[in-house]
Amino acid sequence: MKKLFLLMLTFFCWQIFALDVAGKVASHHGWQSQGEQQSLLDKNWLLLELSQDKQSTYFFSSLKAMRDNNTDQSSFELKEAYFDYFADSWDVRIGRQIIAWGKADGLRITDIICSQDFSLGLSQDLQDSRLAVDACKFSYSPDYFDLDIIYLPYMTRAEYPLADSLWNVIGYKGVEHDLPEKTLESAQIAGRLGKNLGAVDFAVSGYYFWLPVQSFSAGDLVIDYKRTGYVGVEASAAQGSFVYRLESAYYQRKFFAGGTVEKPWLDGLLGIDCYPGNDWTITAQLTADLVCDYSVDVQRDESESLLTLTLKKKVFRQQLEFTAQAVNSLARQDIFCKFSGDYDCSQGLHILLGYDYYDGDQQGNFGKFSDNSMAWCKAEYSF
Amino acid sequence: MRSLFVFIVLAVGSSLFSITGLEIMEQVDARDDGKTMVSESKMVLTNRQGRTRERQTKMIRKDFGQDEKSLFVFLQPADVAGTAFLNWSYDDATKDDDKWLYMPALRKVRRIASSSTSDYFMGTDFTYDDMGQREPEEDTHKLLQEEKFADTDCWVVESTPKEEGYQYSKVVKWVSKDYLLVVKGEFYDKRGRFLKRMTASNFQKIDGIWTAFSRFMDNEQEKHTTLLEIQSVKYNQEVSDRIFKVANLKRGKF
Repeated sequence: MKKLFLLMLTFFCWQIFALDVAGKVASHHGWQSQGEQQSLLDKNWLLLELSQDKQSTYFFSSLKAMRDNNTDQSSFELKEAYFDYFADSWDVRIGRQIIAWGKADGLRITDIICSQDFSLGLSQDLQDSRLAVDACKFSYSPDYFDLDIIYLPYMTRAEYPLADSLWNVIGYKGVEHDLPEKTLESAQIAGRLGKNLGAVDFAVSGYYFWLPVQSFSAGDLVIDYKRTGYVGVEASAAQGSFVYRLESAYYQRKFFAGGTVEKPWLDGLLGIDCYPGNDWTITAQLTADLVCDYSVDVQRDESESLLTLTLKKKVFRQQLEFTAQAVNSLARQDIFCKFSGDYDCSQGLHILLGYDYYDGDQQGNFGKFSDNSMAWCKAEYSF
Repeated sequence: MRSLFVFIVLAVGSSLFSITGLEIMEQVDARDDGKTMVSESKMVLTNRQGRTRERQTKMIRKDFGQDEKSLFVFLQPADVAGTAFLNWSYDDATKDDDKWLYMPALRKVRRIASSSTSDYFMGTDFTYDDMGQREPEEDTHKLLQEEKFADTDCWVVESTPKEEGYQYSKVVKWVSKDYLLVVKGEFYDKRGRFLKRMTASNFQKIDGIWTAFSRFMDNEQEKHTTLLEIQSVKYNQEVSDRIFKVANLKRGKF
């Protein structure tokens, strides 16, 4: 009933306010490359974006209708809906919105305001993996700095694979979220102060929030939410054909061993992008974390690190783009590789073919998906 | 005797033209192109099979003293609509441009490096240098002759790069005396072979500034062409400095 109301409201707004319409239709399919070669991904979806741009106001909403043949489910959701008001040196955005911070590429050090969709493991497209949050964002940009203050009245939960999905590699029977109550005290708040120094972009940020903590109970995955906060820094600088990136966050506490142990935590990233010309892009990143005040009951190594390498090459006048990406956990020696080719058929139509490869330690973040190495194809039409 | 002959030839040669190739290209570089510019353009890319791709773009540019800041936004096709490039270009030749890219799908602004100026701009037949990022002092210019082209009197200037291994061995340019614009260009690859030809047309004076509304680049080696047409342009309009702030890119409103 709520969805029908939403659909009718959308149609009403579209007609009455003469909104601009854009969107995307996509079909995405993937199959195991080994074993029984079962379907891992069989989704068709329509994304409808409605917007209206006035002098000092802007309205945007996106609605997604999806059919997932693997789970035999159809869904209709309001992905984003926000209203902007712009003044000369400040603006405010109220509503459901996606907020992205940080200098990391595909990794989340300070970029954790939006919850994540884990329903397709790491094979989810990056742009689809962020879940919009209901928030009020105030931005103040005088001449010499940029300030964002974000108020999130309640927690938006992450998405996990359904119990009978092949992406449920842990084998839980169900997922239980123990969400914090929606009270004034349970609100989350974030701030970011950025400064552009010409050749260097620099920002400090902080976030007081609810951190999801996983544990198991009677075969169920239980997601408990515990209070913590971080302070972070980020910077990027360009020199010649290179861009250097840095990002780090210090967490007041993080939770380990099913939430029974809490320790301060430090996470950091160094990245380098190289643009050698001829439509090549090469990106390398090294992340390392550190459990402060370490003890063995944490049940993991004191420090773990990840190495990522991405190569991109555009050919045929940028009509075809090849991407090869590898993410390697140095501590566990497991790996995730993604190879793709994206052909621009012109005027908004793209055909993509790819292969996602998981291998290594079955307890690792990537190795645990090793039965789900997948060949996939996708067609997208933007209008 | 031989030295005297060379001296006479040089003296006569230099007196044939009252202006040098370098002076012409400096005039082209220094010509008034407005303190600000706001334009919308269409690019039509055609490959050897005759298939076309279209791009619609908006560009906002403003002078900040000797430096220049520009914002380039894709309007069409829909898959790239909203993608924006912010560029801060400095008069100091030793200082790299600062560049940022906004990707609407990711809602993220990222700093990018100054791309190789020899790369094709957005898949067109124009390289970044062809789009006007090359300084006159980077080449040696020789005035070859004067002739009429497209109903305008032109200087024909041959520009040879000072640096070795540059993308072109030479470029021959027809510079209109009336507009101080390059109305035709012939580009030769590193090996000296003819590569591509640019012809400009539909010249109009907008807000007191001569503008070529159409530029066509025909890449003979790759059998690929690009037509770049300006659909609307305004100069010296009020443009807020804030448009060129990195934080403004995140707003996605241009």
